[in-house]
Amino acid sequence: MRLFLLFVLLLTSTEVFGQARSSIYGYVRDARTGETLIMANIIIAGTTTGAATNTSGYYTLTGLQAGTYTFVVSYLGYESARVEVTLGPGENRRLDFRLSPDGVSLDEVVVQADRDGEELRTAVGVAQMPVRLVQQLPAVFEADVFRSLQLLPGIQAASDFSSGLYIRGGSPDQTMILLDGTTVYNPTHVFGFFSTFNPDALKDVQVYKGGFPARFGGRLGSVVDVYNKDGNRERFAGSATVGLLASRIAAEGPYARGSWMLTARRSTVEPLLAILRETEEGIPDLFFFYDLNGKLNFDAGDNDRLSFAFYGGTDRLDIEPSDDLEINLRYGNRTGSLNWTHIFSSTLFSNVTLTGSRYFSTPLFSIGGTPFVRSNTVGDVSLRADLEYVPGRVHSVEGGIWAGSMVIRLNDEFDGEESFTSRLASDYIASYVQHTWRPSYRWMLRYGLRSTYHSSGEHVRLEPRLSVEHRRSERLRYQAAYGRYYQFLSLITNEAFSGLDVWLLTGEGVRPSGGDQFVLGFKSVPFENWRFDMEWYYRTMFDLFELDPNLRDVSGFDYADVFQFGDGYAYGGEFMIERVRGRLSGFLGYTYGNTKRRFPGINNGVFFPPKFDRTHDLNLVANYDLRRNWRLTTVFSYGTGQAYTRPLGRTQYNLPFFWGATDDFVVGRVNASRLPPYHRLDVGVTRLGRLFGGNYEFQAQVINIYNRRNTWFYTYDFRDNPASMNIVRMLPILPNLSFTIRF
Amino acid sequence: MRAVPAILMVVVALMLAGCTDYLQDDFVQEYVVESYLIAEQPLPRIRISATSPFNEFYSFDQLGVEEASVVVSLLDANGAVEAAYPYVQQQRGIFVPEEEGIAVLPLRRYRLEVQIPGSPQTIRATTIVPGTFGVISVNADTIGFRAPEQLEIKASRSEYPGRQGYYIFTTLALDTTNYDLTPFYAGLVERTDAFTRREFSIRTSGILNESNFLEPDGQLLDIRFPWIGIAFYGPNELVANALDDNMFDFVRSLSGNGAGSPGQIENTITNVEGGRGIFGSMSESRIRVYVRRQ
Repeated sequence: MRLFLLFVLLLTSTEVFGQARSSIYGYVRDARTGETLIMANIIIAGTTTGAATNTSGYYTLTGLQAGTYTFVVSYLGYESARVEVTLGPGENRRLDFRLSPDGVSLDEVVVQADRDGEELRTAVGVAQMPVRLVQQLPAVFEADVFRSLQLLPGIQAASDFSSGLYIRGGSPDQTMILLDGTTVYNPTHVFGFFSTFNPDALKDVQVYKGGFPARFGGRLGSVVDVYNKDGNRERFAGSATVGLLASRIAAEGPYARGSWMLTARRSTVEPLLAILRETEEGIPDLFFFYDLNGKLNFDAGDNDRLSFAFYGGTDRLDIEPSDDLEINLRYGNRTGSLNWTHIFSSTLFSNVTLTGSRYFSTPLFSIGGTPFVRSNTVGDVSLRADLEYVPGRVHSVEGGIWAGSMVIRLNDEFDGEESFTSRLASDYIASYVQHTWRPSYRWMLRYGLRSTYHSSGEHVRLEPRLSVEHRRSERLRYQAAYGRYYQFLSLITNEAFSGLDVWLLTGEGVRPSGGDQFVLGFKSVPFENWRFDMEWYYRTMFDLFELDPNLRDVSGFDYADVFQFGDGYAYGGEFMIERVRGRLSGFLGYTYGNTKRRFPGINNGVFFPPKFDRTHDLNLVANYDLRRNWRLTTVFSYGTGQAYTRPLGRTQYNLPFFWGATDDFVVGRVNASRLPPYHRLDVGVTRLGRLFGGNYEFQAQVINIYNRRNTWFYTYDFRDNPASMNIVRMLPILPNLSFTIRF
Repeated sequence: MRAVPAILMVVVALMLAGCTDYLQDDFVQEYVVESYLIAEQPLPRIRISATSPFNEFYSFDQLGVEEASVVVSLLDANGAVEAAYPYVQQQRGIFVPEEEGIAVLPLRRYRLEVQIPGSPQTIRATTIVPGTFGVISVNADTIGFRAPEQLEIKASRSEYPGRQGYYIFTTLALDTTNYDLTPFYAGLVERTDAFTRREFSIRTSGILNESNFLEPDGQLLDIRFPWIGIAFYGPNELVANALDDNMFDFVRSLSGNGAGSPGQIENTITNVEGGRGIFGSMSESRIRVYVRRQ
């Protein structure tokens, strides 16, 4: 109790015992669209005092003495704004700032370029992916946010065919994917080739690669926090894009009490498939995917804002590759959220979100008259409430709860009869509190605690979090973070095909996976418009649970007996040099990484690298504005070959119930060999112009321009003697064209 | 900024320290045993060979072991030898019991011991033979392919200590000369050269657990035979095998059977000490059925 009182005293001391302080608070918005900007900076010119906007675009700067201040507001890709304000004693002034994008001048906004004192935006372990960059990068058929994220240091791809995110040695299920605060359980289209997120709908994408604060939880490794646009508050606007695989349309605009946004995307390859079916066999009878995103904002008052957001996406494939063989695949996601943000005062801000998420997958295989249907659904309804209390410049406190109920159903039907059924349900509640202490400009300490309870298995876990930041100067800061993380879910997936993904929960005898993360960071602005960042991480993983891959039929088994349990670790370093402004912009990122897993019964119980382990990973992303209306974009990627298990020997058996001899591999250490190095160069050119009163953007891109046939994996053919090895390759050279018109 | 070079040096040192403690090992030749005991049938022959490097020509005739000392022992409940059955070499790599006609006893434990000349290690494996089971009734002895009524079999359970039964179902086409393939298999043969008509003369299910078929009273198995299991019209023999632990581990992990990432391969689980292979046991039940075109 004494400690608590001391804590309260510490927190309120500035306000209680100091003279009456003033404050400013409000939102930072895009001047053209009225969209709120996440992680924008507000600094008092000539000082180091400042604040940043939260995920709602809200900021508060408290503990100011009465007087006249010049506030500098900045955000990457936008012109900085300077606003002079006089604050009276004890005045709490609402100030909403509006920033213009680089190169766009708006008379009504006081704008002045302010390149001095470039504020570092990123917290430890955090990376931001500008949506504009996602739309500019060369893309395989379709601009994709996850494939763009794979270019950032510490984030790797498994193959050209997978949009899965392998972050700091973690598998994709170790990353929480949030869309407007709602969990998305299978964020893919085309069975893993693309992510579900339509770039036209996106406002901001933040990645917490590790060491993330107590506000987040539920996954061992990382968080991808995606926010859709709120909609243009100034005028009706829209865009239409025609691409080789899919086309998109987006519209947004204001209305009396707020704004709205609606986007739709659908694949458009049916005519091509129809032509191919005339001459080729094995062409799908039906193939399409679509997604819809929408958001409606309602300004209930100066201090209250409500928004309703939804997402719906589905993939369908019907194919009859052979006589009496029929495959029907259907999977997708639906999410919805209702959000209420409320400003209680200049020091207290709240955010309450009701979320719903549903993932469904119903693949049907009918082989020789015998149907097999697997129906997997995940339903998750939750309520989140977060509070931010900023009593002064020295202290801020955040707290919140996240409670919900989750049901995972898995039903198998074989030959018309139910062969397996399971219903895993769990009610959960997580709560957190974190305190940020800034005793001086140079130091910041943030510590917090998160607790999580899942009724499935009756597990309770506590997760302490800690981060420290030391600013050596305005352009240089050191960071360190530690956190413990728990995960109550495990994904059964195949890297090549996400349409059969199945989520499983902790339960009786299946404990939540856990892990510790240690992160050291170094962030600097060595020159104007340049950044140089380094981070090192070490993380442990324990109680990992995966479905035993050799157990095909799980009927009759106790729940805990269908899993294999293991542990692991990962460590590495990430380096990034970025030029944030200028005709030539982009970044060079390099990752050194090492990750290992250990499961009893595999590799004699010795640690081994998972397939996605890459020792070296290098990405170069460059944008060059050739002339006013032409832009060149290029991406070069290089990575150490992935780990694979090399067959060392062979033998042969004569099982009584197999025809002929059955060949068998003899392998040594698991994943001890490496595929050839991966490298690829993509280039694109963009032409910008005016057409029919709107702005158009024509993109012509070449993927894998020197046609490097990277190796995906090997297969082996025992029909040859000696056995032969075949290489399954990744993408060849591919063109991509798209045309977008914005109005 | 002066600290940057020092930081970089530490990083490089850490990276070098981390390189690389995990290297690919080399091929080491191992001995392979293979034998399948079937309850109430004579002790089977045993194949003993050596593994070969993956990229070399494989020939059992060349890799078969000679002059090995092979003994299969029947063990009592305490693990002591109740009876020992020495084997003799029939041909290179093939060993048969010295005494013919020794029946394998259900729900009993057997041990294999192999000593190969020049090898310091004895190869050992043990198996518990599953209990016998049998067909109690079949709804038809002739069925139309993909008729509304499928073949339904009621069978007794095979007992196994400490766990449910694991089964494999096999269809043996008894006349592949005079009868056609069913449509799905005919399509496979017609469309690719990856398959031959002959190899579909045996069709095998994966491992299926007893829980899939167990009737509510827990005494009988109710099996509805799927059409995918029938590759040829005409006379077919349906074989149900109950598996011991060794067979269960071996078959479920045999090359290509495990589910993993593309291209992922693993060693088969063999439960053989001092070598690899399978010393497994089963019990089995067979019925015949005639499949006509519908």
